[in-house]
Amino acid sequence: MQTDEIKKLLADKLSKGELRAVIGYRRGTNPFFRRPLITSSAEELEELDFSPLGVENLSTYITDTVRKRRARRRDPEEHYKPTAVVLRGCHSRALNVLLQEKLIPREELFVVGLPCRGVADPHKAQTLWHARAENRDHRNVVIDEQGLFELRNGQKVRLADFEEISDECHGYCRTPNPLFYDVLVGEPVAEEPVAAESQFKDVEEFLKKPVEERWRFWSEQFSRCIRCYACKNICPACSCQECSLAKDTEQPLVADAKVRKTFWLGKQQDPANNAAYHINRALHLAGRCVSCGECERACPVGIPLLLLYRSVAKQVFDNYDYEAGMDGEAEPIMTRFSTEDSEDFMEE
Amino acid sequence: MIRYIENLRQFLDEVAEGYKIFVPRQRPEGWFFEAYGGAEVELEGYPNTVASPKEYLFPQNETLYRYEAGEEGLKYDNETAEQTGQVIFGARACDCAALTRLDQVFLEDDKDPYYAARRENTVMIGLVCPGAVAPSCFCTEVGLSPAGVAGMDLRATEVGEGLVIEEISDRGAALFGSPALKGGKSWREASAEEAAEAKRLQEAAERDMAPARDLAEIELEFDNPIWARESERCIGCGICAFLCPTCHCFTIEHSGSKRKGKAIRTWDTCQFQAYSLEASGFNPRPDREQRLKQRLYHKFKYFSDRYGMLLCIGCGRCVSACPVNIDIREILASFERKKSVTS
Repeated sequence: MQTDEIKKLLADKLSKGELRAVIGYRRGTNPFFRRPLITSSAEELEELDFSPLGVENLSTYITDTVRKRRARRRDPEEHYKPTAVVLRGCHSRALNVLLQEKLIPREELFVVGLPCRGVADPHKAQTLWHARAENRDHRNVVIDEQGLFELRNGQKVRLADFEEISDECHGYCRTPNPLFYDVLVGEPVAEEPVAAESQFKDVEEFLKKPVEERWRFWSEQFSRCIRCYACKNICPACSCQECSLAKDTEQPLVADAKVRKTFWLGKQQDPANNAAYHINRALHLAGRCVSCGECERACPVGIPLLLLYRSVAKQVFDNYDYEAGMDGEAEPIMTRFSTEDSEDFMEE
Repeated sequence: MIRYIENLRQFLDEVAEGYKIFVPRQRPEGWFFEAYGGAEVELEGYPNTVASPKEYLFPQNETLYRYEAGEEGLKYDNETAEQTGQVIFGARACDCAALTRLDQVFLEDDKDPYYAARRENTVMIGLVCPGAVAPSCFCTEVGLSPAGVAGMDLRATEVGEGLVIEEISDRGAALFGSPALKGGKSWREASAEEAAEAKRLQEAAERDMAPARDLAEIELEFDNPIWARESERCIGCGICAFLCPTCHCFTIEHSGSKRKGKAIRTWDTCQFQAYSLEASGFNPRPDREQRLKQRLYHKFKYFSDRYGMLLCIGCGRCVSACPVNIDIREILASFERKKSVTS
């Protein structure tokens, strides 16, 4: 379907009361950035934007939105009305993880699939704009799947090809098209996705380095972490309401004071606690991280988190022939036991 | 006296004889303050650092005291902040002004000895901006200037290949009185032309950022629907507060056992749900809506009511680093519009 038709369809559904809310993207206050749009108003849907700048994995909001609205509304019919959500291929993998873990039933979602030819990196686009634009007026910025353009007297003038402003994620993307959807924006991407066997080239390259060097690399990276928890909060797979690694959320009230005090980590930002936070988080994401890259984009100090989580994903793939979120019907890998599972580690 | 430094590296080498120095350096992930270490400081294209320099005055972790249970009871050892002098070179005017806010909190009334010791031993060499260095800059809208001197000990302006350095405070003057710099070869008195050029550049920077409005005039509205709308996409992380040069909330953690250990002060933020959790289990700010509102109310109302200055210095870090583009300028502007409609 064309974008206009989709906007109209969603607006109709909202006004007829068939949808509870729509989660998509809209323009931000800076022309290089998009922001999530979460709305129940049909008028606001005019602002829905499907440009390659919309990168946030919106499935992050699903569990939260559903939980919040359930808590607020008492009308049972209202509870189970579907929420519409715009999802790219990797985002649909993330939603599969949530479905597998029974955090939300499929009937409560109306998926607007967004075929993805790669997303734009707003920082790259902004830098190139400043280097190449004739006129710095932000109203003249145009970014689409063809590249970065400047409007000069109403004409689109190319400043950069899409390859120059695109995020690196297309280099290992397994799902340019959403795995499932109720409506699709435009036409599916015709290109073949990266083959399963060749998806971890970046990790393989990194693993060639000796273990000491890798540890030095990560120690240095972790030492720069400011423990803002953006990586965990923006992650769709981090769906726990209370996190055992961070003291940022309320802990459940438990009568036994000893139990209440059981945090795994100190709040201090120091090498030991930082490393423990990141390594634990990486392990909790085993078989659940879908490589959408949101954590890395959100990180204010630029820690290459995806390399860490993808190293774990590679282990899961090599040992169990399993890829997170590729099959919504599959049993989550870390809750499954099979006598066929590899036991290599026991031989050492 | 107004001085001129032709060779920044030579100057910093002389300063390094008596001080630890931190300078802005470009990494693949952006600009960060780093220990000087003797390498050339390249200022070409320097906008501002990703993290503010507040960590050098108010570190993210700081041991307050150590304790140990002995035969005579519990023994405490207060830690004292390190006394070695430090120089922060290249902090922007907004970040220097932020220190005047932290001073209110940590030095007025009950003095915080840890902050006080660091502040006393830190020389801030501010660097005048060439104008707005990022689309998110708005220092002039909070009553500051890209060339302002608030919080600076020395003000540096890039003139020609070198720097014009103006004395702002006694601490700044004292730096040039220190043994390494007193008879130093790295500086000379600036010529009248150099001083005039510096003044011209400072005024040009201010003109470049002529403010569209005065955010001190804005009146926040507690019941406005914008809080719910803007917080709906908030992910509740601490980026805005931890990168902010004026956010100063902390918590105290104990590490060790009942018999021996230490108390550590670490940054905390009102954006975390657990921040306002009370011992009874009640949380007065359970939702992101209330927490976002709290952050802006603190910056634009509570603090200014108490100290007569805004707790926002317009550096724009929270705007540019927010992963979901929550832009405080936009929130504030919505109240402004409303005001003009009703008036």
